[in-house]
Amino acid sequence: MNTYGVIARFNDPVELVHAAEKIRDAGFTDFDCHSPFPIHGMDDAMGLKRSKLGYVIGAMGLTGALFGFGLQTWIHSIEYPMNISGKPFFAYPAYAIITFELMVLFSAFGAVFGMMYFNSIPRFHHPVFYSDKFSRVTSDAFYVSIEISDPKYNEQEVKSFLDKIGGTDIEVLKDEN
Amino acid sequence: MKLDSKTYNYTSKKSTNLILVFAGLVLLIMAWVAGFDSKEFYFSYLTSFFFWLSIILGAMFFVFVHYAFSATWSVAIIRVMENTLMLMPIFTMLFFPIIAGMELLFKWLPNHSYWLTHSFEADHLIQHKLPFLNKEFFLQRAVAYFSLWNLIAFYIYYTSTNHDVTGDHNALKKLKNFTMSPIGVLLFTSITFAGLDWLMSLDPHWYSTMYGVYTFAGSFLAFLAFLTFTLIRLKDQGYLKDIVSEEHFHDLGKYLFAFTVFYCYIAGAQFYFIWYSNIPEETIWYLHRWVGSWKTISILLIVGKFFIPFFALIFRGSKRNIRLLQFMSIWILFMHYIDINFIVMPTFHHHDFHFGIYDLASMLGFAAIFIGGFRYIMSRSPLVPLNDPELIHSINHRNH
Repeated sequence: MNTYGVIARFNDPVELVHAAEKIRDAGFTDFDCHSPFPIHGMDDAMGLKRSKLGYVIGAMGLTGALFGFGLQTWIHSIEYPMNISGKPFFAYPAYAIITFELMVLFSAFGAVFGMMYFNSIPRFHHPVFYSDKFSRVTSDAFYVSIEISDPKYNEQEVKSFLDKIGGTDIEVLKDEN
Repeated sequence: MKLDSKTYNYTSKKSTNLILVFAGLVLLIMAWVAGFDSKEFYFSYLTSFFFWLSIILGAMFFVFVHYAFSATWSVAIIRVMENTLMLMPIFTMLFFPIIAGMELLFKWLPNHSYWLTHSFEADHLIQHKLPFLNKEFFLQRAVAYFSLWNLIAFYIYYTSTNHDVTGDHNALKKLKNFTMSPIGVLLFTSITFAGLDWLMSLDPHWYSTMYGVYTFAGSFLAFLAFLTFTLIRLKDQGYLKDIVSEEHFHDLGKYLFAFTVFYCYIAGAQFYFIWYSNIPEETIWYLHRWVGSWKTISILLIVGKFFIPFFALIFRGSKRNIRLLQFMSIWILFMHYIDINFIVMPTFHHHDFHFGIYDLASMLGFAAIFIGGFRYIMSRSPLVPLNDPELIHSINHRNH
């Protein structure tokens, strides 16, 4: 039997936000909040930093633009120069559209795969699913989980702390074998 | 929450502002008298006129969007935009010198000096456009545009300011109905056609289907820069404290960024179509702008109106940096002037960019009228719509 952490249920999104603030202020770093829908202000309440995804998208966009421009320059003016309606071989105005499209494409890849990387998805299982009651989180329950990897983790203290800040249905996550 | 009435009541000396407006008018009239027969004056006048008018037209678009969608975040800054609209009556009067100088400005009039050496009847392109480009219809259209714009300005301004006094929320419903009505369509049609009439027809052989939206994109960008600059100035003077916050400036920064890209997209598309198809009567417009120092101006526009604002405003931090936004708004307004100059002037100064005494006089004259008038209008009503139920949400607006 391995232990993975402690979960506690809260009644509504407002309570969940306040609970997140208290957990953050108590100095926990490895905890998560689970709710059926996104809650405005949760990032601040959990003390999360701004996502780095924007920089990934920016870098990918720039790469895509340079790649698109470079590709066309190489094809049209070096590898296979062709006279198209009397325009010069290096007809850079004509490259703008493909450059732009590849920038968008690369940024979109950066956004989707970067998001997946930062969220560690796809992922087939998570310890919170050891709790049977937890499945309600997709309809009407608001859960907080504090994971065992947190440096301040101490099972008894965490349980009493969650109880103190108003959590119910407190459970310790354990696997079956 | 209690707001300090000092922060939303703009105080400004009425006499100073009216003297400023008067001085501007005197300067314009002096320039007009001095340059009554000179083409240069009318071209300079048209440039400055359109530069300042486009700010008002951009404001109309913003106000329409605000009311049509019942926007929340912009409630705290809507009155500043509505004040801009009320400059429309004075700009209607300032259009008269353009009518007086029509025959010096517009080549499609048979009395234009161009036809002394060319045959008007033999010019098929011009003959073909005569049903649209003739003096009577041109004047009728100008009357239609200005009546419409004045109607919009007066209706929106007075409905909104009355709401402050009466507190009757029907005013918001009226404004929503007004902005959702076909008047909105008419407004954008009129901006498109005003651009065609007053700017594109300067070179009547040339045409571009992107022109209307090009005029609009430039106007709206100029207005956003003007709005950002005004709000920062008001905040520096101690107004709108606790009302307009960093969050509003962040949104204005996003707007500036987005419309910088939009402007580039439209201007670029117009160029690409013409460049690709390579038809002489179309490419000539760009060719005129690719000789002598006009070439420098063209490159300056690409770099200064797109690349500089794009890279300066792309970061979140820079949109929340008020000093940087202030600088960028002045820069964008400056580039907008260069843009209008780039559109109008090559028809007159064929070979080189030129900034003469008439340009300076009309620019200063219009600036004095605009700023004096704007400050006067601002001091007549509170700087925020006090009875708008969404005001508190706008004040607490946050970017997520």
